[in-house]
Amino acid sequence: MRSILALAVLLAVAPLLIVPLGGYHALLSEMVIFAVFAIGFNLLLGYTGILSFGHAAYFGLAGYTMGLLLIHSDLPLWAAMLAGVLAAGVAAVIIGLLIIRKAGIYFAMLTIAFGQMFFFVAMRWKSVTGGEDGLSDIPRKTLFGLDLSSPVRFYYFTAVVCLAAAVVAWRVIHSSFGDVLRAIRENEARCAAIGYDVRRYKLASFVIAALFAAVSGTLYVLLLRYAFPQTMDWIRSGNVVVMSLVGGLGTFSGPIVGATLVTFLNNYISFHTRYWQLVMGVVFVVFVMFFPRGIAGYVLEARRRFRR
Amino acid sequence: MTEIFRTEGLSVRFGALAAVDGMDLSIEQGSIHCVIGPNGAGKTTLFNLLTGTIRPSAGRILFRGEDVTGLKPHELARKGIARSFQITSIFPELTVRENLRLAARAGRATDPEARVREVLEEIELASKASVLAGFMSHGDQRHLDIGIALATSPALLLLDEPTAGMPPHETEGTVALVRRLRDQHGYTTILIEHKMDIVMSISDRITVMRSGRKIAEGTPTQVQADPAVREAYLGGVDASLSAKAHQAGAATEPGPPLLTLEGVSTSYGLSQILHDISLTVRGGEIVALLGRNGAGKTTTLRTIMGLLPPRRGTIRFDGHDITRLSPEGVANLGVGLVPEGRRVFANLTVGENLLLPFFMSGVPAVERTSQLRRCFEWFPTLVQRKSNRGDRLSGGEQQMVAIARAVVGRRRFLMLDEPSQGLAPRVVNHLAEIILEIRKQGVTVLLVEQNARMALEIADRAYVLEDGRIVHEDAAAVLRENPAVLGKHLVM
Amino acid sequence: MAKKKSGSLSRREFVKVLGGGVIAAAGPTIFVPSRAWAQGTGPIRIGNIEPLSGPYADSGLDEMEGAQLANEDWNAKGGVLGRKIEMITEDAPSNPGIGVQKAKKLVERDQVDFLTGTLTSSVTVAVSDVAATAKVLFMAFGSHADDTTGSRSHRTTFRTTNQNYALSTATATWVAKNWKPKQVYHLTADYVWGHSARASMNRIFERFGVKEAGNDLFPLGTSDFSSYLIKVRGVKPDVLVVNAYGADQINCVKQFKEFGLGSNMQLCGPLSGTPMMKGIGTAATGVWGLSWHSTVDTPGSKKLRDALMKRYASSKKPEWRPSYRHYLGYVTHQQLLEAIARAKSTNKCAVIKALEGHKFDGLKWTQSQWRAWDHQNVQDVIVAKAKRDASWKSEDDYFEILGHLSGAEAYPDEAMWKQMGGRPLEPMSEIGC
Repeated sequence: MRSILALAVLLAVAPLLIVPLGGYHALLSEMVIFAVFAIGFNLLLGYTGILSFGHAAYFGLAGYTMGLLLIHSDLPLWAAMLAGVLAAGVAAVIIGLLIIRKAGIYFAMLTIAFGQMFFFVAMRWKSVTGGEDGLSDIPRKTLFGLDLSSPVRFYYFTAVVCLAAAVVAWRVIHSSFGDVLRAIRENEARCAAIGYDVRRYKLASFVIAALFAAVSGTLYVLLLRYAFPQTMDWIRSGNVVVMSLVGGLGTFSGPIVGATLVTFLNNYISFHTRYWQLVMGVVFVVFVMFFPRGIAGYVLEARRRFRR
Repeated sequence: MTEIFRTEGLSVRFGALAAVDGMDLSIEQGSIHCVIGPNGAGKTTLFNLLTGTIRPSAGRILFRGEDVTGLKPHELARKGIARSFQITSIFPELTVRENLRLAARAGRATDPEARVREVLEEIELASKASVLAGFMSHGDQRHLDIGIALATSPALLLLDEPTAGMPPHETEGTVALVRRLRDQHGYTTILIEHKMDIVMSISDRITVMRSGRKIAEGTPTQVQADPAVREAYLGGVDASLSAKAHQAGAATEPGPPLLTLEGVSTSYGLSQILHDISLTVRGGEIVALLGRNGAGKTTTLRTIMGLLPPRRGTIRFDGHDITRLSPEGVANLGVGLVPEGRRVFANLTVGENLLLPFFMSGVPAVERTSQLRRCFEWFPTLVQRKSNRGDRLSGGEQQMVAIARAVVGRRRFLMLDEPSQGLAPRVVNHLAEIILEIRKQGVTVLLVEQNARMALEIADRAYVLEDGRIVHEDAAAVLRENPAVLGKHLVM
Repeated sequence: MAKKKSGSLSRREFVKVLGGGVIAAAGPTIFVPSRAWAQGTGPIRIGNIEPLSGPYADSGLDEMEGAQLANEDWNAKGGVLGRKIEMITEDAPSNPGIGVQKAKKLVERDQVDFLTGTLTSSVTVAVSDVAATAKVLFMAFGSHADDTTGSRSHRTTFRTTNQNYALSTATATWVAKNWKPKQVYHLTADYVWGHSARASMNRIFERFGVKEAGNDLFPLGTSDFSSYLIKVRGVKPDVLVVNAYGADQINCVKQFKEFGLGSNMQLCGPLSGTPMMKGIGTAATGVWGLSWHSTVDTPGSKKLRDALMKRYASSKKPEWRPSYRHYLGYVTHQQLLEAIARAKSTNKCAVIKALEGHKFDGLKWTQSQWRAWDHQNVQDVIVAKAKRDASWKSEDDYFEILGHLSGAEAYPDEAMWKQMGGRPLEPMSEIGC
């Protein structure tokens, strides 16, 4: 639980540290929002060892669903968010059931295919989704009477959600369910041979990651007050893979470190050079080639050595 | 005596191959039942059927009277059938205790921690409970593999070569463990094992398989006395072959040494497979490499080919030191390997399979055509099969394609790994003739065979491997007449 | 053990104290961003959003260079209201989400006084919405979509370039009058811009009694047009209308040439420009609507062309010439800075008032005007013939200007604008004026 406490403290004081360094609250919110996405994704990729390139679909689906409800209905914010997350969850269960029996590269390709399907629906179904222009002017409304319109307040709202997400992930990781996920990553055949229904666990992991993505997606759409097709294309799905790798796969703090760092760098570098995508590409290549265990992975090892 | 497990007419086919064919097994409660047979007999396939990894095409599996045919691995495990793996299968990044706890929970133990403690004692790893499994020695990992199966509190234990890759002193511990499980705890065990001394000492009953079928069954003494079993292990050839062989053999004069191994040792991970191997193959010779399953024959070939770098020793080919050369480098010197199991591409035609070696090398078109023509001259049956897909061929035809594919790329040294595996005796004869013909064309051959009789008929000299060491070396003609050596190292 | 525990406790205590100190020290400056500082005597900050990476990167760079030149002109004269102009450019490739992020960043962190830029319509309307919510004036360079100053208009948004309706009207009018076709065939990119281009062209064609022989919709990003062109060859229209932009236009025109259709029929389209002609190369053909070209022979345009050449030509290839994207960037910033000077304030309310209805020299033939009720820059539309033959020397020679239609003739009137879904601008009071 020390990690959770540390995270809480960090989230609380982050504005004081980041803003003087050239950050701003909307950027901080974005960093925290992607941390939520990455925390969930880490359960899938880092702990279960399943690579998906399609989880942005659930991120976007939840965002669009919530956005449409906020625009067209009188539902309160919490209900619209919940509906968005549930819609993504249902989609993840259906898609997961269809593709979870595939392994490795075939599975990854299918996740891309389904993800792109959502992207194209958002792009083409103009009457509902606004097509490539997206959904604009999504009202942020109040949350249980709390006004979220100021960037600072919205940041603290995302920070609380992020903390909650981290607690949930912590409990999952440290449960017997989490042990089985890790066992699947280590040795799937053996896991089945001792009596675990591996497919069901993988599906659960897939859906949990989708739910985290969905929560993150609703927050993101609320932050921008805007939903657009690119929220769900495979580039964003790939981005969360990058975040997980840079932060450190299969570590608790890795996704948080990776998501905040990559988001910050994306913003920071894109201001300084028009070749920022190239720079980010190089950063990624360097990590995969020379620091495959990610930042958190090396920090943990250094600490372990230091203690010895 | 009560029966706990039985199969009735269990069969599975892979394309044209009947890998397991009408297998009937009956396992007594509290017994150790061994399944043995030469390589390619279908033991592993049988094991995969029993553990639900593959589904049978026919037949039934009954466990405690219940039909469990077609259940998935995890469902069988829930019923109480636990297995170990031939290639160690543990959770390397978890501690020993975590490994066992996962299994105990999966087995719905009322007190998982207590079950973990029991198993730790049983497999003698209590002192290493907190060690990461991947950091342990090979022997400890093998025991943990069995321990994981035990922790699920099964009613039936399926062990797939539990002593594979173990040095003798560790083997003893494993044997003691399996015996203890039966004697003290009443476990029922189905065991696949290659080390015959072990099989004979611990089995209550033995089933012998060959070509997917049961050819003998009984107590160790009954099985040992069965001529069919002896035949299965040594193989057989037609009498007409020898005359041709000697004729062909006489035609060639062995040249200077082409391949030399000096003190070669090779390991897979933690387990050392080859110990100080030295052998020589002269130009124009056929040299046989014999030995039981797991003796290190395939590893020797893979080491020569550069697929496995040796720990120690030197390998020289035609004056070049190839000890650290890449497989491509070795191949470019004219060395070809026909691996076990043929590896013919199922969805390519025979012609396409034969053209494969040319895709990667810059062979001119004229050269390619002439080599293909030569190849079809050697293997006339392949001409008619030219546009057939790989999976539409019989086993013998597949073997021919595999050999032909290895020779077309201008090879002058060919290594064949178990070419006669799974072939009918008539086809084995034909195969032997082809190998002789290849040699006549100036190709030197190193032949790994289970079918010792066939190998010794066509070979000039032979080496016998046991537990990764060369234990005997002689002219083939001498060895052929020496049943004592053959029986000791090759049968049981 | 106990020692270690107390150690870690005190460390945590230390963090708390430190955190409290930071809050106390930095609180006021962080939580109460002081706009007074930005508005007082410091530079005027303009946040500029352009696609500097991705498929529109070249056009985005052109726009930025044009804007930069205008800023430099003013700074050389001592700035506006005695304050220097500082432009902060952010890269937003054609993805509205990034556009929104960057706009938010410019407003929240950099506390810019104005937003400018953008190229594709999806990013433009997204940034336009953010600007409206943040109550910041946004001067859009690009985006030809009618929606930008129609159904998605905002009091805080002005748009410099020609809208689709005007481009189509000018091109179709020229084609109808000069080629006198009996029937035309449309190849239309299947998205909003394509559809509205075809509708606008047909509106004019109908007036001249020209029939639509057929229309094929093709998906965005089509690379092979052969099936469509074979059909066109069968129908034998007098004119083929290509309602496509970017890569689609390039591929379609190239294959039109390859099919040898040029000898049987004419080709036209509502919108093109130097970036497309670079891609089409020697296959260049057709009559197109343009917002500006480097050979516009008015004194103002000549002067701008010379200035841009002087400023940027040294870093480019010899055949390089300024594009209409330079023009858009330059004119917009020029107009914005002039309006600030006229208003004697950077206050958005004053600047909006100074712009609305303002007539100015848009460097073309007749005067341009920021229309008060939709914030569209009403201006001349150029009709030009694309060519690329042996006499081609520089990018000047991509187009031969055939004529122009004045803004008054080309643009929808208020009734038409409403019919097209035009949304009245918010009252000034709603944006805090």
